[in-house]
Amino acid sequence: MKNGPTYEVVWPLGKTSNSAVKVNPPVSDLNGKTIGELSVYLTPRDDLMFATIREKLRQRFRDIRFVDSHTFGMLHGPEENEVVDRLPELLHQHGVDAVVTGMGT
Amino acid sequence: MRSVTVVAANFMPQAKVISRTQGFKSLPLAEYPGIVAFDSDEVFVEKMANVVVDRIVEGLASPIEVAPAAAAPKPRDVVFTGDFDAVQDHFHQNLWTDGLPIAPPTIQRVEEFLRFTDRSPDEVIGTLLPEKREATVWNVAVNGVMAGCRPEYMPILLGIAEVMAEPHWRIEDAGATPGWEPLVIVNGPIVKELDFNYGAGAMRVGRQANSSIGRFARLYMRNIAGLLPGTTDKGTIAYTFNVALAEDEDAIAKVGWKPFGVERGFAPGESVVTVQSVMSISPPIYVGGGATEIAQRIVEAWGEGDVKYWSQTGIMFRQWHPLLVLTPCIAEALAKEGWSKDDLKRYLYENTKTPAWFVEGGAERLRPQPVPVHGSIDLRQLVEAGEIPKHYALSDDMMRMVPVFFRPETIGIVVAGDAGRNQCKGYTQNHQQGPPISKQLKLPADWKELLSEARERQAKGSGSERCKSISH
Repeated sequence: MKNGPTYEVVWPLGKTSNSAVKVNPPVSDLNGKTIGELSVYLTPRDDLMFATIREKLRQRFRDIRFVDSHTFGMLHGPEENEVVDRLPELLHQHGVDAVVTGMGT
Repeated sequence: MRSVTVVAANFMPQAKVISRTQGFKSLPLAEYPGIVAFDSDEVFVEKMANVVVDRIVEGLASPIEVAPAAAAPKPRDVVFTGDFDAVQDHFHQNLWTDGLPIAPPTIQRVEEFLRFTDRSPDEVIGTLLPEKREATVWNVAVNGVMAGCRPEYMPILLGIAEVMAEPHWRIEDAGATPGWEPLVIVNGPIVKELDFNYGAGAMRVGRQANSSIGRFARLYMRNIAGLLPGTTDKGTIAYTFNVALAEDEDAIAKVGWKPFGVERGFAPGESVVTVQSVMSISPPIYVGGGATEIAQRIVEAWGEGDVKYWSQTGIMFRQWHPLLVLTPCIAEALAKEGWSKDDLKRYLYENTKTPAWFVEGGAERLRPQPVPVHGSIDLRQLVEAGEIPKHYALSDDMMRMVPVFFRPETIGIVVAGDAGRNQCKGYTQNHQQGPPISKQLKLPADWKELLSEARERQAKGSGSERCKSISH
C-alpha cells in the first residue's frame, strides 16, 4: 500500500577507483624459495609466530630461506608510510619469492 | 611475488572485504582459529604449527582471481522510486544508512544543497579507503540531505569531506578496534550564522546544526569510505557519533584567549572546520578554586585516567592531540589569574606523569607481568634520536616519572558548554589516526543572500509556544 508521496532517489555512494591489479602465479613448491616475514609488531607474539612458521616450513622444505621481519621494519608505527614505501625495493633486494604477514590480534 | 596473510578468526570478514576492495575476489588468508590474546604460548604454537602453517602453504599454492569492476550509477540516475517507508527499507537493505531514518535524497533536494557551493558537483575531493570510493561534491550533498542537514550547511560538509580525504588523516584506520569517532569542531562567524549550540548541552543532540552535521560525518565515513561495523569497521565496542562542537567565541573574546580556529593557524574572523578522532570521553570534571586547583583537578581526573592509559600509543607514534572542553566560567577563573590556554596546556603536560615502564611496555604491559618490562618503545632511543625531550630519559630507572601528554602544544582546548557551570571534559584522541586537520570554509560568492533566504524559510517554521518560551 502506498503511503504518502513518491520519492525518486539517487545513489549515496561514490564510484570505486580500483586500478588494474596484476596477479602472480602460485608458489606451489617452497623448496629453494625465499620467504619475507612482515610484521606489525602489535603483539609480543609476532616473533613467536614467525619462529614457529620457520621451524615447520623448514621441516617440509629443506632449501627454504627466510628474511627476518626486522629487516623490513614495523608495518604499524610512526614510520609505517616510509616502511611501506621502501618495501618493494627491500623485497626485491632480498630476492623474496613470497611474503607471510599477519592481521588481527 | 605472492603473499599470504595470517588472520585471527575474528578479523576474517574484514580481510575478505579488504581483498575485494583491492581488486581481488579473494587474497590468500591463513585463518588462526580462536582469539590470540586468550591462548597460552603453548596453545599458540600448537595452533600455528598444526593448523596455520598448512593454510600458509595452501594459500601460496592457490590461484588468485581478479574481481570484476563493479558498475556504478551516474550521479543523477534515479536508483529507486517509492514512498517514504519504501525508501527507508531500500536504504536499510543496501546498508546505505546508519540505522536511523534518512531524508530521501531526491535530485531536487540535492540541488538545493549545491546552491551553497560554487564548486562543480562532479569535482572529486579525494578517494576514501578502505572501499576506495570517490568523495565528490555531489555525494557530499546527497549524504548531507540524508543526514538531515540544511542546504546552508554545505560549506561545512565539504570541509569535513576534505579533511577525511587527506591521506594523513588516515581514514583507513577509522575501523581500528579502539572504535574512535570523528569530532567536528566549528569556529568563526559561521557558528552564529548557522545557529550552532555552543552553550548548555553543547555536545547533546537537539540543535539541528550540531546534530545533523555530526551525523553526516559518521554517515559519510560509512557510505564513502565503506566503514561498516563487523567487517571494515572493527570498533570492538565503539560508541555513537559525536554532534559537532562549536566554540563559544564570545566567551573566548571576553577572557582574551585565542579561539581554537586561530590556534589552528587561521585568522580571527575566518570560519574554520576541524575534524579529529576521539577515542574516549572523560567523566564530567567539576572544578573550583584558583587556577592551580582547577588545573590539578583536570590532571587527576583526565590526565591520570584516559590520557595516562593511552599514553604509550601517543608517544610511540610521536603525535597525539587530546582535547579539553571547558566551560566559560572556568576560562574566566583561569584568565583572572593571568592564565592563557597555553599556560593550562603547559601545566597539564608538566604535572601528569607515569612510571616510564608504563609508557614503554606497550602490548607487554597488557599481559600479567611480575615486574615492569621494557616493551615496544625505548624512550632513551627516542631521546637520542631527538624525537622527544631529554627529560624522558634522565635515568634508566623504569620507575622514573615521565610526562604522559606527548607535547603541551598538541593539547587542544575549546571553550563551550553551560557558561555558569564549572565543568570540563577530556576527549582523548587516537595518535596518528584522525589527527586534527582544519579547513577554511569556502563560501559561495552570494553566501549572504543565500543565507538570508534560508533564514527566512527557517523562520516560517517557528513560533510554537515552546519556541517562545525557550530562547537559543
